[in-house]
Amino acid sequence: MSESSGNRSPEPIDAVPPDLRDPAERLSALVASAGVAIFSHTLDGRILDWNDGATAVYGYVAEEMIGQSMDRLLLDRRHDSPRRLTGQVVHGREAQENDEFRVTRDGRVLRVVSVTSPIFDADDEVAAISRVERDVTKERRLETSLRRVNHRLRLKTDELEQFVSTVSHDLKSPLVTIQGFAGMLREDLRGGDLDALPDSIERITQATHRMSQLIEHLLEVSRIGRLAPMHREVEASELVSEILEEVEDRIVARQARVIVDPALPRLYVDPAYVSLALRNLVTNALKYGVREPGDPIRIGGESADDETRLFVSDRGPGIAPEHHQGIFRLFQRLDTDREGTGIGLAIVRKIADVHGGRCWVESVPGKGAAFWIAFPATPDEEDDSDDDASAEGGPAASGAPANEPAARGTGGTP
Amino acid sequence: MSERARNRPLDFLLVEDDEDHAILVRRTLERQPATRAVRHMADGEAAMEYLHDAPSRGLPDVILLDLNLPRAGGLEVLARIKRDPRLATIPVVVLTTSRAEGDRARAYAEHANSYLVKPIDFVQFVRMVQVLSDYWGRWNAPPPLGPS
Repeated sequence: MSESSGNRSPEPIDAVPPDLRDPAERLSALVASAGVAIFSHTLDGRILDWNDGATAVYGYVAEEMIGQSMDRLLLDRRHDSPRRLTGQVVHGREAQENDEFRVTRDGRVLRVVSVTSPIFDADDEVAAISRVERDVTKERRLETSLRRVNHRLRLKTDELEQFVSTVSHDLKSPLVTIQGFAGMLREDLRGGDLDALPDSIERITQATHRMSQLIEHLLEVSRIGRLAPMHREVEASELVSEILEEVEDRIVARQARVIVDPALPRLYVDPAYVSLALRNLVTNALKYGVREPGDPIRIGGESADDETRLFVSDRGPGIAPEHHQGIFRLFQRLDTDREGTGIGLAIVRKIADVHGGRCWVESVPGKGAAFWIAFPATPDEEDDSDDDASAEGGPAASGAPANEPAARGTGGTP
Repeated sequence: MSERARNRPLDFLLVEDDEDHAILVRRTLERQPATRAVRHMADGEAAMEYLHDAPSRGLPDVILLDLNLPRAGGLEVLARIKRDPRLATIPVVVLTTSRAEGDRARAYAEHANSYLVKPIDFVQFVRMVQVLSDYWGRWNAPPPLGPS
């Protein structure tokens, strides 16, 4: 016995406890105690074997399952893939690995990786099916949230790239104008030609004005989001009447007819932010949506489902469908108008974003446009990463310290 | 006997939405000896309409094209010009404030013949327009007039 090393015995018998010397018993012990769900079933889905791992994952004990159909584990009994898969395994006579959905005894839906294999009888026919299944719900959820974060990051990077390119363009343009007309002015003076002087000076003045406006708006847009919104209940009608007072001169100048719906919803938002968003929408409507004196600008809103929405509509030229997304991006202008900086709607979008809300435009070209901004009726929940952590098993049994929720505003300016 | 190229009078088409820049380019171009005429269009669609309606003999010798244009954007105009056999051989010089790599890459991918970034400095600006006019009017041998 002590010379077993020379015998090339396939089994290190010494190491095996006496009651597991039989390989068949050992194999069954291995299956029984494996930390994954292992079960077998007939070709029509009746359960034959069910290990402790399967009980741990699905909640059913062996007595409940053996002899029963595996249908109760399926999410969609008519269309779920296990039936198809059984067919494929029988036909292909080979194991297959798939991601599938399962329903536990207490009704939870799990994502599992299932390795489905054929069990052959003495005639080498597929007689039954074995399944080894591992719960990957948590992994898949993490993958999804990672993908989401990645996607968000990519959007941010794109936005930043666009930002740099457009800032350089939009800031450089007035500089070219200023330098150019100053140069021409100098030449004209040298040549004693004074006719074009007033025009050159006017163009230089306008360009500096445009530039300072652009810089101001840029600062505004960068400020949003640096401060978390301070939610409180506020009547939309209050915000609207404040704004209308502020822009009264412009309403008079454009001879617009402003109609405010009598029943505006109550909001749970940061009033300063929302006021800024609304002001941008109203001034946009005044700038682009009033073609004739007396053209209406309507401000309204509604509460629906889980959100409260406001809109500002006009009967201006409207916006073609292909621009409905783009106009909320920084520096997207549809016109070469001199008034706009292309930042107003980006501010609106950012304000919707920081509230966990959304904004969009509804428009039929030629018939006007309605700009909507919507906010959650109750404040946005914390980010989903927290949900994932807290969803697992209640109070942490381990000695690991609980994560402190990140304090707002730490880390200073980015 | 001399190798000096001859000045060829050039007709420019300037596609530029910024009125100030259009005036600057035009005024500077018109002072160059090689310039015969500068036509200005303020947006992409207008430029395409003009090019489509122009008789072959009346097509511009050089197109100066801004990228940031309302209605059809500069890159789209460029692509449409280069796809049209009647227009494809007209040199298109992109004239923009954008130095962005993406813009440059896309412009050349759409077969821009040259890419010039508008200098802020006026002296440089004038110099650029002079060189531009000199290059296309004096040194560059144009494509022979094909059957049209």
